[in-house]
Amino acid sequence: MIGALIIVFREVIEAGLIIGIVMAATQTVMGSRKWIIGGVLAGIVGSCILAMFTGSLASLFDGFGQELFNAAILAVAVCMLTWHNIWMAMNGRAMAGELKQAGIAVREGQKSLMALAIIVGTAVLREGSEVVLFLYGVAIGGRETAGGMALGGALGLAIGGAVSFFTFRGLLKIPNRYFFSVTSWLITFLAAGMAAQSVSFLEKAGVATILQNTVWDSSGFLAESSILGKIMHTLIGYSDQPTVLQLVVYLAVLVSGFGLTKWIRRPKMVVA
Amino acid sequence: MKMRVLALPLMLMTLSSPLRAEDIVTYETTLKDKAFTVAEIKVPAGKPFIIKLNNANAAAAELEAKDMKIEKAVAGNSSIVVRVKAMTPGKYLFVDEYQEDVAKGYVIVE
Repeated sequence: MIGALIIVFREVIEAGLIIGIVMAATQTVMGSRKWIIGGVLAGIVGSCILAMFTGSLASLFDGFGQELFNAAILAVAVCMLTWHNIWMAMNGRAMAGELKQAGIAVREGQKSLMALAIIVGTAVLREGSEVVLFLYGVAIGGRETAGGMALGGALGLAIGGAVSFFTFRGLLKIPNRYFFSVTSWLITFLAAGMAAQSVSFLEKAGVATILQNTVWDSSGFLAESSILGKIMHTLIGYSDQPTVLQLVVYLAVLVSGFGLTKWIRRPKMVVA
Repeated sequence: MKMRVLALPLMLMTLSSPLRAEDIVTYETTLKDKAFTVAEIKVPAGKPFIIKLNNANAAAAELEAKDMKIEKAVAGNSSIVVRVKAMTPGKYLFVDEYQEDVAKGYVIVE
């Protein structure tokens, strides 16, 4: 049971963190909850569909269909996170400050909310299909421990949900005047990490072949596959053996993300 | 917006055609019940290689090897391939993550 719990938890922790951060970051945006829940549900349905087609996806592109699919949805998520950050930089302050304007902002904000649903949807989709495959395997396996494993799997999912909840509640404790900055930093780091991860999938598929030297190896210090490593991997894009290409893309997304937000917010900060 | 969402993955997929012509050796192993039938794969050091895993079980599996950075699901009764970067000499563990206590194999790099 514990084995199953850990397997499922390892898969869902990333989505759990992302959902928690996105929920907190958009807490002041009216109607955001609806879109996030929609995104999660779509991600779950998508995971089941994806699990059914794992075999066919694997046989695409000379056997690297899964890697390319992952690279592509990560790239989409990076675009959506960046879009969302820009939108929040332009509208977030006004909305948090003056509720009167929120109605107008929400109408303009539907696009940003759609981006949000896509972010959480892809987060669930990426690891969700593996959870579905695992649980399905348990169900058809007919092993004597199937009951315990199913229970472990369910507990793993529940703990993943708890991660979302505590991330969300934890972030809400941040004082108001720092809140916007902190959540937009978090989202920029998420985006940079996902961009680097997208590159790593392209490398695994044999598509990205330049700048392949390993920059450092910190696997002895903090293994990326450990739970803490996984959390850091999600939050700031930690990698224990990044290639030069991954690092370059990571820094490019990080710097441009911070740069854009700062540049957009500058005039508003003068007014405030 | 919608167009952009759809266009990006499509663009990525059409742009990318994994290199096949290069000299990269494929090593094959099969997962049957709880064991890999080639439990020790010998590969030369300093060269990237490909592992092909045939899953002979009805249940899905997930090939995982932390040192070799492999983590890939394989459906029941089907196969996957994974690329592994050039490794330094050593013995590296790979497992079926869904039954990692028992289903183990090693890549021996020399």
